[in-house]
Amino acid sequence: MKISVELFGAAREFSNKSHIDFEVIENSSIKDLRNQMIDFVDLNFKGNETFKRIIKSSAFCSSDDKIVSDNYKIVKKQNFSIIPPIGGG
Amino acid sequence: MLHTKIIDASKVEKIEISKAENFLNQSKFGAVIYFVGTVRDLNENKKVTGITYDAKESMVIKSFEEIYEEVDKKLNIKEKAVFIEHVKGYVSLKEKSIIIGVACKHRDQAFALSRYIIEEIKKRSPIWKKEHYKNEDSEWLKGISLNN
Repeated sequence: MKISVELFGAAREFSNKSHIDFEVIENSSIKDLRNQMIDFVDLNFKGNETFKRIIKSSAFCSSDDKIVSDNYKIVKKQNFSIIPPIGGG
Repeated sequence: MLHTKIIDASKVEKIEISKAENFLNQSKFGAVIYFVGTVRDLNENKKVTGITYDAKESMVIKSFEEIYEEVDKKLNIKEKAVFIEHVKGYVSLKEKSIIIGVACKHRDQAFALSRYIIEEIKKRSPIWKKEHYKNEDSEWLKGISLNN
């Protein structure tokens, strides 16, 4: 199934669009999604290590604005956001 | 009483202390403090020309509300008014990125509350800074991971 990951902060550099779509298998986890994003960077940005570090240190949140753990199972078509390390103010 | 808003820098509405003054000016409070964050010209020896702020707005507003709600217990300040606005988009040197206005009965409460809010926003609110430099480079600043 197709899910969409909305991009914020440094992760906006991953695409000209505000989101990236991924095809994931039902019951895959956020950890799997994180690895898919790393694969995306490998493919599209020649394995850019800075981008990979951003993905590894980011949190993911569900469409209801809750941070979800790496073990969170994706059981239906839903959207997530990638939340790179923060620092506003 | 709480007021929160994300101000889009590309739109007409501006981030202004006068709005905070109007919100916080109440006879029951004897202490009002404004914290104003602005864009400075030097960071880590790099000449900064401006900052682009990004924000996940719904989560930012939620975090402001949570911070406000928990102050009762953390600081034991029941009567208060809090005004928080943060900019999203490009902000030039010397321009404001955030205003935190607090009103309490007494000054010790107001100082503690203002400090608490800005420190918690730094740790919890999903806001990001991209610095723009004089040599035309730009860079997203490192921050605090919310990935526990």
